[in-house]
Amino acid sequence: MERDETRIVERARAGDGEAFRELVERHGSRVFRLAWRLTGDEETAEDAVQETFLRAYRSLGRFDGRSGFGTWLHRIAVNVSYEILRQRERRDDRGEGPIDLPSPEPGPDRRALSVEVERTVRSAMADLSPLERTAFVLRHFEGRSISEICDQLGLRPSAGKQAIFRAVRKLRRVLEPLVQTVRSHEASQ
Amino acid sequence: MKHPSDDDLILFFYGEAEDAEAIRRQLEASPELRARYETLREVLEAVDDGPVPERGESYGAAIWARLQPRLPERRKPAGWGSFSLDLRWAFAGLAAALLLVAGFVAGRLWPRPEARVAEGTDGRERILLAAVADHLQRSERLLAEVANAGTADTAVLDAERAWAQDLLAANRLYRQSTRQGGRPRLAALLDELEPFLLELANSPLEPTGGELEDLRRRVEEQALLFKVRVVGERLDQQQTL
Repeated sequence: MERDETRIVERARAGDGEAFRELVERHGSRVFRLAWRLTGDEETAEDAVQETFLRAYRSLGRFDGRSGFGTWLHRIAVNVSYEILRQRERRDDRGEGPIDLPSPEPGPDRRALSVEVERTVRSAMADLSPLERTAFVLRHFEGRSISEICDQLGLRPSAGKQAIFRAVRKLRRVLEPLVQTVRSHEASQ
Repeated sequence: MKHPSDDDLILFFYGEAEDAEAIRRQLEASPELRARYETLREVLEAVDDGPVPERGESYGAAIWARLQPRLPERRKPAGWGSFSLDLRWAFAGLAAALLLVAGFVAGRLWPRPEARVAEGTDGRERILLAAVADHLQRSERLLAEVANAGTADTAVLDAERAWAQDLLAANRLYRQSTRQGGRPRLAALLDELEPFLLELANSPLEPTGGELEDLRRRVEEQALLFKVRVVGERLDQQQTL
């Protein structure tokens, strides 16, 4: 699979459009998942997917193959999503309001609490700063080490750690009461 | 080891504590610390609750369909790529001139749309078309600025980026509304405009000269500025009738 992909990347670098299409089809869903986690919004994530592959295509000549293509693409997707988050923050600062995050429809009663947790998580994630959100998503969902995150975002190790600590503190502030409610609900059943 | 702080517990949860073994021993020894850690763990595990929106098996093909028209041409060893730069510009100029003539002839021969507008357009459609006309004129000014910009001045780029962000949000809305309102050609133009707005809106904070040049070249090659100008002016004229 890996050697196979190396050959596809080589063909794409040589200008073979079909080969690049194959790479898009292989990695598209993974890039979308990452972008969605980072941006928290489907439409914005779709934009990030497009921008990621566009930049990858333009930069193929600079891809040296030291890391896998997927790893390289991951880096581009993180940077693109991070830039989008920062631009969104600047737009919000100008008073244009955040992008509405679709909240899930309330489910049946027995699911109401977990739906509430899910809604609260999304809302709490939306309140993180771009740096906090990006660092947290990379650590929590993507399993990247703090040193990898700092390397990717160009941060000092202490700054990367602090971004994650701040994110967890903010999430904890809004989620802890709910988690306790869920716990006591489960204990009563 | 000192009593672990919340930050130490966060690092421990992620397997990045400097002295994980010492924290483990303290957790075993202290019910209070264990309770604190359990609450933290429950909160962090709750963050996993959100499902990622599903994308079907054909998602890769859908990305490609939207992406392909935006991809810059790869230089081929012979043919178009071997032309000198001057010759290529000459060809581009000729193509633009032909497009201009074709646009003029088409404008003269095709039935004038304003008759239809005057007969069948209700107030809502008029408002929509007026808004789209205004949107196209603002987009035209942005495209003209991009096409004519000589240098990669950061302040100018910042302003263009913010401008494109505004236009992008409006463009999506108008594209959907015009399609739903039975204006497929207008929707198609907005469709064509959108990748450029998207690219400008999400352009890197410090784009390279090559990236900017590439964008300008594509604006010119697709005659986008010209199309936006013509359609925008036509819509505007319809509104003033």
